[in-house]
Amino acid sequence: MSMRFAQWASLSPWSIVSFSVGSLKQILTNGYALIPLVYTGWQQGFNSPWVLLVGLGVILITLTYASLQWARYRYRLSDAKLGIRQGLVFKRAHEIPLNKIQNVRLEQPLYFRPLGLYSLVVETAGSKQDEAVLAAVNYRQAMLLKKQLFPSQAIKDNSESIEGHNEAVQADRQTIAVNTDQSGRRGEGLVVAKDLKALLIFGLYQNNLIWLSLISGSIIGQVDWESLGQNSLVQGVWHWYQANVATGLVYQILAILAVLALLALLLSLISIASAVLKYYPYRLSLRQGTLHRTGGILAKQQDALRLHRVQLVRFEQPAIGRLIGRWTVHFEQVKGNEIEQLSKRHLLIPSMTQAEIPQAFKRLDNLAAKANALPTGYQGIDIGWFWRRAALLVLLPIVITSIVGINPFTKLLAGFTLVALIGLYLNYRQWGYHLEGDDCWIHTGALGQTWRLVPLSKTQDICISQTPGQRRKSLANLHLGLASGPLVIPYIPLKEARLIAETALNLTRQDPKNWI
Amino acid sequence: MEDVTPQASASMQARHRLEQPDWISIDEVPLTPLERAYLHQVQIENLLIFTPLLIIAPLAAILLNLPGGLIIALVTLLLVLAGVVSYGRYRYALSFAYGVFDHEFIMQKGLIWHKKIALPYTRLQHVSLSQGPLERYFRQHTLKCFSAGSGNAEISLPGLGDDTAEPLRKHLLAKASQKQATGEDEA
Repeated sequence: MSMRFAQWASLSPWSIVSFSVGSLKQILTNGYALIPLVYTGWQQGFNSPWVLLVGLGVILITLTYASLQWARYRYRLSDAKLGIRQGLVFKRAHEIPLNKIQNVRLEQPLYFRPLGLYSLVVETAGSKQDEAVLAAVNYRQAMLLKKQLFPSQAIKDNSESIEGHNEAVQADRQTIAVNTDQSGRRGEGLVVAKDLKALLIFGLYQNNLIWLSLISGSIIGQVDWESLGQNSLVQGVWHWYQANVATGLVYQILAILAVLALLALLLSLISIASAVLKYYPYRLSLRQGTLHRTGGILAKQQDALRLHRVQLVRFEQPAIGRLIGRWTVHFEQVKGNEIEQLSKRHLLIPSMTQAEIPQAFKRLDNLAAKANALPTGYQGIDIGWFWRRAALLVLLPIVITSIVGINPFTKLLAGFTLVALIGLYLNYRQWGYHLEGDDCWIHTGALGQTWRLVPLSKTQDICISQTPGQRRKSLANLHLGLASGPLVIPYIPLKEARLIAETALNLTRQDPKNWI
Repeated sequence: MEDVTPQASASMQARHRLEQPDWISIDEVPLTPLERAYLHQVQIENLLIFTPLLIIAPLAAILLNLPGGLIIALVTLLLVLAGVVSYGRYRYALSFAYGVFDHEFIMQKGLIWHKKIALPYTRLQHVSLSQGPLERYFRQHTLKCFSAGSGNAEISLPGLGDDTAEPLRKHLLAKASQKQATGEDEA
């Protein structure tokens, strides 16, 4: 290890910018409830001197705080540890052993772009303070740091740690695999690249309507419906609707469908834009058993993940994606304590067709799972799963109807129950598993579908559970505990559950190396 | 799908190992039930939970001047509830069992959802023993085994006596470090 970073060093003063933005962001995200307040302030007039004063005060305080943060921030790299000291009132000192680092990411936020500076984000698994950020480092420094923090160290201490061993073994395997590879050096090379069109498609099918409708809900709440009704344009549209559309039921249904489609398209546009801004130009490459992702227009990102740290590969296909035959591939790693934060950040490949998946996965030799292509079918679960839940679901409307009799409320309840039953049935139809060598595929979904590729060697604990009813029919629920989270395959034949459980136990018995 | 053939052979190997007589499935191996002292502890816990309730509820009902019929109904309901819950807790305590094996630790629990959990030593990250006030009186310990990822314990086994808990913890830790050490040698 070079002595370059061995002494305690402070960051460049430019990091004040990123500290300020960070605290502003925190204020804004925590102050989401403030938006209506600001809105009313806007209604009352913003030119009051108080608003200006408060704004100035906030900026001043943020800047001072950021400068102090910068002044107290020290980091160093020594003894195979990354040390960080920070904090004004509550002092914090981190020591992150280099072999516990999960992921090193290079980010270029918009405000650093003109300066050519980057933020280096170091992620660890399971720690409470999940990451360390070294802000405002220049490219050369960032690359140097990254090299020292990330893959190179694993090769360096070959003889000391098991991890080094793994890496070495894997590196050997890789050199064999690389002979067929076009690029000469140890499997280096591009695995997947996605152009603008693919990302547009990705944005279209991976449409998080729920989030957007949640946000739009709060906006709609702000609209003054009364005065909108007085608006001549709205009244004109309403009259046109009454005259032309409301004449027949078919027309009305068509009109509602058209409005819904328009809304979906609008939301899709937002999601498409965010997909392109976040990922374009998408490039995923493999170097020394590590996946690197680059891309992003607004904030240039560089993500890295060691392949043997991947716990589970998830192939996801939302309903629209199913129609156009595109998959999103997620690589899930160890779940940390901050579940939401970490799980959102895992590496993904957008917009993969069925044929592209084997091409990409053939290259990923270090992955614990050996399967390359999606399976063609799956073993479904027992119908008992559906009946048990359906019985519970139907019980409520039946009891209520028998007490109060048939009225609009119970009719509505029955309607909801019917929809829920259909959803439940779809879930039942799609739930299944497929054992392929030492890998277990789990299929789930309702309208969309998801394949989870579980390398059984990554399982941590196994649980077979049975209710008395299941025991009579010799069925069982199988729970697989993985570092990325628990998985369940319900209502499968006991024999199959035992086979999967024993295969997993067999693999883990012989595999004491570090799996996370 | 050209990789299917070697994968199938790997699975055949795994399946072959299953057929050996010593590979009894995890839900068939004989396990050790917990000590009687834990059952006593659970019964005392039940008493401690329900006795105050059964005293306070009628008193409060009388003070509130509720009609006599209602009080009787309330007390019967409480008694039935106490009986059912206490019996359920007793049976649940009976359902616990554990076993220490060459390669994994296995425990079972559950009345309706009968669970058998296996945790291989190679995946054991951390073991803890804890003791509440009542457990201290009964000389009982709760053993928790953790693996990576999730914050909660994969295995949580109450009712281990003084003479088993500490040796068991030491044994698990020793097994875990031994397994992980042999892995280091082999690799």
